[in-house]
Amino acid sequence: MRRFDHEDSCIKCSICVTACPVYRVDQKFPGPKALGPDWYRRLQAGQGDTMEHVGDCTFCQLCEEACPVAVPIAHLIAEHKRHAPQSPRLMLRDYLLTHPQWLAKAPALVKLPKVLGVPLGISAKTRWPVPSPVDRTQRLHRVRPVKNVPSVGIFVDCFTRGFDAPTLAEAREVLERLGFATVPLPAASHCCGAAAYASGLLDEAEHSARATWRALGRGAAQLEAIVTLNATCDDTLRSEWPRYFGLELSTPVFSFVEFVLKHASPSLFASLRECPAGEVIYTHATCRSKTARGEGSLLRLVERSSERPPRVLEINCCGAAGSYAFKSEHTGVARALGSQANQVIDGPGIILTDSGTCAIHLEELTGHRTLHPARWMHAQLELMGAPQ
Amino acid sequence: MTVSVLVVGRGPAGLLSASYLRQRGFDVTILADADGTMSMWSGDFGFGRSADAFESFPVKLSQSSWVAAFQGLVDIFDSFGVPLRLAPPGVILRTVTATGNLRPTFAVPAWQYASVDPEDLIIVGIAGLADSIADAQAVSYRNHVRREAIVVKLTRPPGWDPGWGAIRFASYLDTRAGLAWFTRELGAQLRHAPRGVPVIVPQILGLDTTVEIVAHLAGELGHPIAEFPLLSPSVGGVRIRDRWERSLRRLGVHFITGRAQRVSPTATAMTDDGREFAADYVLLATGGVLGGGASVTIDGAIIDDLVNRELGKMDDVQSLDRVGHPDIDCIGGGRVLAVGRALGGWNPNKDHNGGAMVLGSVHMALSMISED
Repeated sequence: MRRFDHEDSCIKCSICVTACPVYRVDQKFPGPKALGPDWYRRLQAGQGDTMEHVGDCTFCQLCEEACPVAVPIAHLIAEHKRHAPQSPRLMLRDYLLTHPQWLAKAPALVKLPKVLGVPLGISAKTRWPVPSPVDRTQRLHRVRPVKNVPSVGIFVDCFTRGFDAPTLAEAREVLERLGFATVPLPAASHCCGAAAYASGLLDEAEHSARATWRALGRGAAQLEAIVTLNATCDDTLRSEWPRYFGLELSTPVFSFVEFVLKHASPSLFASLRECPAGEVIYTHATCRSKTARGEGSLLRLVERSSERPPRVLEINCCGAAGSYAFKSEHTGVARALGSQANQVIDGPGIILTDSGTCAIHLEELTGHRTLHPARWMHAQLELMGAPQ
Repeated sequence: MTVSVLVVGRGPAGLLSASYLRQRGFDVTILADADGTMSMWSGDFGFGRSADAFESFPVKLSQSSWVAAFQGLVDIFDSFGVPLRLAPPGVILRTVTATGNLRPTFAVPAWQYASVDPEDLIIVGIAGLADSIADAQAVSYRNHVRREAIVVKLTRPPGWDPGWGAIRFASYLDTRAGLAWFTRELGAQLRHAPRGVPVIVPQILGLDTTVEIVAHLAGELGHPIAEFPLLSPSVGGVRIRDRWERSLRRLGVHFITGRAQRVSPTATAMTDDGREFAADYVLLATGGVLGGGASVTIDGAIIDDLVNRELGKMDDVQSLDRVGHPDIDCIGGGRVLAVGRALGGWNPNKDHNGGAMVLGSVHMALSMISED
């Protein structure tokens, strides 16, 4: 049994239930209180029967964010998932889906006919990403820190590695524009462990996390910071690694958005704001971004960089939730959650979000082009550089 | 230059501060590490037991200022789709509790039952809803209020299981099938009830479509219909929280997640994970029912009431010398202010004036900011 803090602090206020996005759209879902702290107390008392539908939690952690006494509700639910029986067929599927570092090495696998995944329980409805045109299967070139120039690492998450080379390239260019040399990390494909943790495969999560931590290794220590492109990996590296796996990084971790807000000069923002305003920007900080740091930073970045005020996409979890939407039993909930965006969007525009899987999910359900903020920043900078 | 305000806390006082500040063109950030008490509160604003109760409040506002403050509150709630009913001048409304008592209130969401004079009521009980105790509620109502209370009971809805709480019932009533079930069942039970008598139902009439549901039921059933609040979590508070936060996001309020651990007199807050937020002003809206982080004691210490733990040493906080109201709610020479119901030893649970205290302290803080 994994050790937690505050695992038995539940005061039964049920605020977590009011914050749970799945509870609102799925009448069968028992909710975070029943699946997390209530179940955990029964387990402690020797009555750990697992509950049906525990696997329907997206691990968005909005319950934990809402909890007034810091119960690790979602992590107790992950523990519950670990105890829940699963058919061998779905175990195989979950094992594959929760090792995205393998898919990142062979992203072309997603081009196989979807029908092949159906017997395994992989959704035929959910849109898959498109492999990056550049061959990311090879190891990233080792880049050494440049002397006399502050260097930062960019954590290349599985999605970015396999499917989103443009975001990596453009994020690097933005950071270089801010005066930083960038080092993509780790060189080979590794997963921070978030995908496995979300599915309750806690040992696999720890195994992946340790391998990634080792791969970041000493190289990271020479860097000023590690910049992340995905909110889930960001929170995993910064808080879950030390809290649940005892893995400490000596280098501070920042999300791309927070790093740019911290390091771009006021004059750069002023110049950006002078550029002609483009499309309406809807910002969607992913649920993990909201729970860990709040959605205000992404809003702030767009406000500082554009004359046109952005709009917050007022939804909670979009339902993509890493591999969640790719599991056939979750297709309905994932689509119900993501479709809520359509009630908020009231005109053309583009959506900015700090996760690749959320981006393809939202793009499919709303029909609005959805990008990582780094790509939008890059475009803004290009616009600034172009003759007016 | 836009003036920036950091509001710490996401309960009623925090959201109300943010609304007013945004209205006045401030740049607003809300820093909170957990949900506030919105979902533990049905959304009605108490003002004490009588209309002149404000005279004993530690926050001194004139009667006309109170009227203006409450009217402003109605406008804000209106702007995000929660119609609020205000007591007429010189009067306190009374709402019915889940245990059949009358509780004084001053401003109530229109979906919640409130009346100036006690009335005969039809109380709806629902099987399978834990806090619905219509028989006991009716007995208590008759004893305390000396008016008639007729009980009608609905059976469990289709698909019900023992895990259903008020939030689940409300989600169900937001669906077409749920509303059809409720309309049909309640209609059948009211067939022999005296026409025109107000019907009160447990607070489960939807989360997203409540206003429409209430109008639909009143039209179909021929009775005025309203809800009484249940215990926590409160569906009424969840409705308001969702609408309010959505509207603040739309207005460009920045929501930041984090636990404020230190606040310096220079209006800078530091979170426990080392982030620093500097602003022109900090409003501490952290002292509600849960103590969501903190209450401010008279000597300037910030205490987590729930576990009775001091949240870091506030070494650099000088004193509570000048405060939004003399001797209550300000530290750091006027740039760090405290707002909310749990200030200066007030006891809103006893005096039924927590809503007015939230409103009054927020107004007081706003006037201090505007003066500078």
